[in-house]
Amino acid sequence: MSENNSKQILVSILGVAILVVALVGVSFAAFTYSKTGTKVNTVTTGTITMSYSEPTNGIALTDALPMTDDSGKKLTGTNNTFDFTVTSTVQGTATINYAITASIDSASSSLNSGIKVYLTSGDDSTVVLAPTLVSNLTPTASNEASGAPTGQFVLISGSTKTSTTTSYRLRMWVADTYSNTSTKQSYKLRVNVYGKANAQ
Amino acid sequence: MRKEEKKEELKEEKREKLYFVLIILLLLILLVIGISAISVTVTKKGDKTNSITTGRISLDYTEDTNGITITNAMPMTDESGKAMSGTNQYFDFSVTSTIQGNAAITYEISGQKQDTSTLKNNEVKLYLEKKIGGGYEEVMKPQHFIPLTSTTDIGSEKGTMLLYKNTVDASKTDNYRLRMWVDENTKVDATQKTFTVQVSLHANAKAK
Repeated sequence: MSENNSKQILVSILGVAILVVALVGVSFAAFTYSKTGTKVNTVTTGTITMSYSEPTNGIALTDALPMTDDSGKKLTGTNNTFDFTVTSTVQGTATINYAITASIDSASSSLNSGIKVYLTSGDDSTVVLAPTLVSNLTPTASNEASGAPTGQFVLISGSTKTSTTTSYRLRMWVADTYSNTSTKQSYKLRVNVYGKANAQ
Repeated sequence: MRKEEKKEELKEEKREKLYFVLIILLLLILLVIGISAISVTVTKKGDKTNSITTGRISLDYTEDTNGITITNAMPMTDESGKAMSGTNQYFDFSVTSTIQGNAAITYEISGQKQDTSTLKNNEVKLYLEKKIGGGYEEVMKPQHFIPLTSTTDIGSEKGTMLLYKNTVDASKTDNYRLRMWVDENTKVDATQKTFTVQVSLHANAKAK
């Protein structure tokens, strides 16, 4: 009985001590401060788009025989020329590195030294690429600024900082230096457009 | 008779113990209030005045007139971002601490991302400098927006980004400069995107 009473007393004292400590702790609370500013800080991106449009028909020359450059440059009409348009739209300050390339069908690549390509722009009035054998075109490198992959040939490359739309016309013919005309062969070429803008 | 006597004795014992507890209680309460329970009669008044004057702690956060407003922003390297110096390309603010007494203030500067932001956290970089001497020095290197996973002890909230933490023990003004740009690896397309941040300040102080 006496032991129980002692315990009760101890518990009471402990309880009061805890209460006092809590009171001391609350009455001496730390200084606190909190504020959110009113100014908003905003970054809005610009935009870059690039598009490539091509007509329904490409070049489809059949029974083609070697041709001089003068004749090749004058090719006109359906299936004799390939017209396409490249449009870039830039909102902001950026430099777009672009390249128009030709990828050759693997079965056709043996004829690269017998085919010439010729590229003009505008109303067919500006020569972008003079008549050149495909085998003499610059192949794409592994770190092209335009982002073009390897294994293709560059028709034209450059850079632009503004929104532009350019129309091109491609002509293709059997070079007059090509001599193996006894075998019927076909040559397939595809035009590609690549563009890349680097960080400032 | 004996039983009666024993009962009386127990009652007396309980009463004594209760008095004991009450006395302890009273002493503890008086300790908190700080009033001496013992009155003393003195025969002489002292000459010296003993007084306590409280110190003062305050903090103030002020912003410059312009925040960051960059439009048509393109991906940028860290070197270019850190060097931006045109109008609306950086945000200046200051933290003024006033301490009279023996205390230290710990404050945290955090960035609060607005819900309207459409750029991802890893598509922007934030960079903070502090004015030291005559120029600005880096106190937070260029970093993506990294949200806190829980509220800090100082009060910077979960979901905000802790930009910088500092402790001062004397009155002073700290000036800061914040920059923000589109990360160089961000792909820009035909859709404009935004990232908006507001700066917050949290602090607490304690006796040294």
